[in-house]
Amino acid sequence: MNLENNFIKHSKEYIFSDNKILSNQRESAFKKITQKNYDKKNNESLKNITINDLSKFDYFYKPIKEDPTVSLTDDLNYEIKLFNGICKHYEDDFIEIRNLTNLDFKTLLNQDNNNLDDIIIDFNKIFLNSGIFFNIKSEAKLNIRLTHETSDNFTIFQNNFINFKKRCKVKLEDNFNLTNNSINNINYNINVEEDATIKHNIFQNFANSNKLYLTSNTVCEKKSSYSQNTYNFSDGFVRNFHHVKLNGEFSNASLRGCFFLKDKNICSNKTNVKHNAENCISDQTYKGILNDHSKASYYSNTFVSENAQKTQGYQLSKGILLTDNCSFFSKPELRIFADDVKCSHGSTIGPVDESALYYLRSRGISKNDAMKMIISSFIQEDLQNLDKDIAERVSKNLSDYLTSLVND
Amino acid sequence: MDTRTSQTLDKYAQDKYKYGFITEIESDRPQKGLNEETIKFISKKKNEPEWMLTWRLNCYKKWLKMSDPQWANLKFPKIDYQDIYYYSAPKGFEEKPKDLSEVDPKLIETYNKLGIPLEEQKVLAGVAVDAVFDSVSVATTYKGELEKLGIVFCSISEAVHKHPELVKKYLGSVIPPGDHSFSALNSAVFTDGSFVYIPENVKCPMELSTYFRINAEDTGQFERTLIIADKGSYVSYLEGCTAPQRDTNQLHAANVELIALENAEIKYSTVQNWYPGDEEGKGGIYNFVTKRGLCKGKNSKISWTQVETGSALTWKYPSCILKGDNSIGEFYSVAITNNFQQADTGTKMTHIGKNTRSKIISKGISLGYSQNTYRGNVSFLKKADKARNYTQCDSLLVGNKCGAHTIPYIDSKNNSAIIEHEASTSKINEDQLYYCRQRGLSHEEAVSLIVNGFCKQVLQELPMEFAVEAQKLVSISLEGSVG
Amino acid sequence: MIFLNINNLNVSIEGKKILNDFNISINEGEVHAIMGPNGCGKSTLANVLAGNEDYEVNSGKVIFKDEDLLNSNIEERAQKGLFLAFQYPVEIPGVNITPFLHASINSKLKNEKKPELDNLSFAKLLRKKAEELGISNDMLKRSINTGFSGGEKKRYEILQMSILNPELTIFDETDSGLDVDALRIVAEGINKFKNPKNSYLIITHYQKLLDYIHPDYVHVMRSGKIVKSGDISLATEIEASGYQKF
Repeated sequence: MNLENNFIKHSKEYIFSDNKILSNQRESAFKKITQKNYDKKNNESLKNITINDLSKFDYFYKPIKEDPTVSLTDDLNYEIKLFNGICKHYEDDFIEIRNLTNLDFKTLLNQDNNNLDDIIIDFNKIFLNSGIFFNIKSEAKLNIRLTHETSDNFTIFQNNFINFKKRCKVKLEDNFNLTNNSINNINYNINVEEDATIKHNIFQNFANSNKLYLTSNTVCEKKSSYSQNTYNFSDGFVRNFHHVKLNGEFSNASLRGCFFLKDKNICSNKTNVKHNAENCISDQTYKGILNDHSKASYYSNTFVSENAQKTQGYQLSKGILLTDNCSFFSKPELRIFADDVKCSHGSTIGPVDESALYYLRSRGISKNDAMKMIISSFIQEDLQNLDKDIAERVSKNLSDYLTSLVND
Repeated sequence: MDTRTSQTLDKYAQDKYKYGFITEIESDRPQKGLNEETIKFISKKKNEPEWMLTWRLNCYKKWLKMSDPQWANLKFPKIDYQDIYYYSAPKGFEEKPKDLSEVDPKLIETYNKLGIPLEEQKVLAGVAVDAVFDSVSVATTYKGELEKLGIVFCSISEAVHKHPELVKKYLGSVIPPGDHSFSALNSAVFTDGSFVYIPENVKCPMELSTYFRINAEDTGQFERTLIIADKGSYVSYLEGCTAPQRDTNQLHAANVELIALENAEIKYSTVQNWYPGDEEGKGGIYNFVTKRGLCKGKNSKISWTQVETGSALTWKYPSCILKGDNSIGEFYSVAITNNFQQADTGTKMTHIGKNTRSKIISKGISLGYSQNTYRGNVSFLKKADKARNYTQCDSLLVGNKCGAHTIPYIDSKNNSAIIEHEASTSKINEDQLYYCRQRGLSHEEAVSLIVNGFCKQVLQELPMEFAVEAQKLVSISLEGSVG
Repeated sequence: MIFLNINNLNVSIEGKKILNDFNISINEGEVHAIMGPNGCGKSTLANVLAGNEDYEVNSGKVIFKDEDLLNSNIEERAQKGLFLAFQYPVEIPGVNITPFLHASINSKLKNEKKPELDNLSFAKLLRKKAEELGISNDMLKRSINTGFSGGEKKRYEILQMSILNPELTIFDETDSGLDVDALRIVAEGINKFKNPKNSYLIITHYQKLLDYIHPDYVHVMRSGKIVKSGDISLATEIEASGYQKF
């Protein structure tokens, strides 16, 4: 079905379709996409996708009966299950979770300006059908395990807000349990207040009939720390676009990711850190292994504004191509307007290190095993910095991926 | 360092562009503006054959349908193409002078002032010069000597007459006129430039050099250079440019095409010192240049070296298409921007053939209120087995009113090819400054020394005669802005 | 003439006091050694004398060759004949020693209103001195300190000293990180250029270097000031029983 039909036909089903601010936003986003002179050529959000492909989908969303849950395994560990974009309302001394209300949109919307040229965000605005509000209270120290479950054929267009209050210390784990033919366009707006420390791990591992467009916009205040790790083992299309603004002095952010692609899978990545204050540190590192006919792109960008002196910014992108039919595009950008900075980026794309392969084989290791060893070592250093249970999960997924390589 | 820097930035404002003088000479120009008549006028002035005019008109038709490329990190008002003169020649140039005695002494004087003497006995040993003044080639030195080896070094207008088969075959073969609007524009209205042909297995014994000078006001310069290195040959080519100091912006949109056949090597060096505008950003050259080399044959090599210190705007990406197996492309660049200059420069390495190799070394230095961008594209196409690229881009910032940007595009479609890319941005190392000053060097000398060291990897690629000049130019570009 | 006189010098860095009413007097041709434990302010002294802008002089006076040294900036002090042999000589990639030292010595000659050296005579001078120090031609071709070992860097410093012929040379823990052989080479270099006009201030943690260069005076420094002065026997004493008793 084309975009126009979708838009008009389902106009009553969108969240708060009667909200004036929202419907204005919807209208203008719709107009923007459909206008003829829309610049598609230089639009980074359209790498590997076309507006036509995006527009052709069956919009399907309805409120569900099955209950989302919130449970506590012990004092610190929260298990939160979102079902088709809906959460169960929960509040205690440390945390508050609820579905967005009409009122929230007046205060919360219009916050992001990272996404001016992001067509996926335009789609998110047009078809918005759900949204969750998380509030992690001051001083809270806790772990959250968040699972997004989506039923067959569902289309989720979600805008979430997470507020990490002062001095809280949180490990947030994002999991995607998608069944079949779902489209998930999820946008996070994350605010990290003074002295808060956040570790955000994101696992993506689902079947190839699903699509996930994940975007996050994080703002870090003074002395706060936000570190994000994404692991993409999915057979389905994944887009990871993550933006951070370091607005407070002495804050730091790291955006790291690994992706493991096979078949005809496509993965589109972007990270973007904007240094707006002095003495901040950032790290953007993405690594990927590509097999078969897979395709990946990675845009990274360190922006240092005029007043962000004593910035340290680091970027790295690494790709290993296993066959002649895969391709990797990377564009690591530095935009620097302050002079007292240390910024760098490195990028390598190539095959598995032949000399390492030769060395291992000369020690009697089979070619397949040698390949596995080298590929594992490629992300080993990243695993070392992870908590044990997460590292184990990644290792398990990696080993599954490698098995599938060898069996090909 | 900051207060000192800003103080001396003011000092820099009083420094004058050394080549800013104007030569008072009558010139022959058509009406301002661009239309078919202008193109016919140019073609007629050059007494061109019909095929050349047809080619120009076709390019003009393409240009009409195009708009200027927008992706560069440059801000400037829309160019009014109808407010420019497209041809300007010193009076008396209906025919190119046969020898220097026919050239207006004022012109010879101009080149003497620029340090480019045209009398052969005074010319730098080992460098043959083609001097281009506004739209025409004034004189080409050492021609006779080169002819003995079968080397053709002449103005492109002359080549159209004398070597039409080569011009027809190669003109526009590396840069298709429809590539983008500036290449179409140049193809339609190009006035003069150099033509070089090196026959099979000939190693050109001297540096070939072209010196470009824009003199007339409101005049665009659209030169076209075509260099063909036949099998097994070698040539080193140098290009220098200056312009007078004027309040208005002048347009320069050159096209340079290089073709290296099997086992041939072309080394192309540029020292670009167009007038950069004044301390308030008024005036200066808009430099939109398309330079592209085709490594057509096996084992061929094209190497670009550039030192960019001038122009109000620089838009320039000397590129290599590595088509022949085992061919090599290189790009060495120093770009210094000061005051309100803007530069968006870099390269494009397209690996098509097997075992092709490329190397990119780029050094950017930003001062004052300038914006300096490196933009580079490295791509490995599907058949580029075992291709290699190494890229290193370093930027230096002096003061916090300027910007340094690094924008690489890296694309690999071949799994045996290896791309390595490194980049860094920082300010001048304070420990190095301290060390040099402890040895008695002034702050300014120390900065100049360190910056020259920073650029050394690139400067050492220049031919000897130019390397010393370039070093001085680097120091002059920094003069007064630090210290 | 007062050669070097430091009178009640107080210095701090980022508000932290490092030198505390520091006093010393050095005459022409003398060799002084300052010894002290880590953090006593030895290196601060060297850097303050050289004019490093990171340090703040709170009060006190430094007279060098009858002039107030504190009024001059880094390069002016160097031009007046003060040379600091760095503890960690910085690498300057792409900058060759020849133009660097040439500019350096000419800045000094110019300041002294003497004729400057042309390329040829400088090259000769450099080659001669390098030869005397056993520095290969190959090493002269490399960028300043770039890719040098610790010993090579220190030898490079001695080479620079020998060419600039400074009246006062300060060695800032020149012996740190050197093995015995390298230490001897450095010491021999220093001894070779010693003359009655030039003075030396050797800042060190260990006695070893002083076995090779015989200082006229040895001072012990603690908490930003000299606590005891004497001759070489003081160094032996420290070697035997450490800094505790001072």
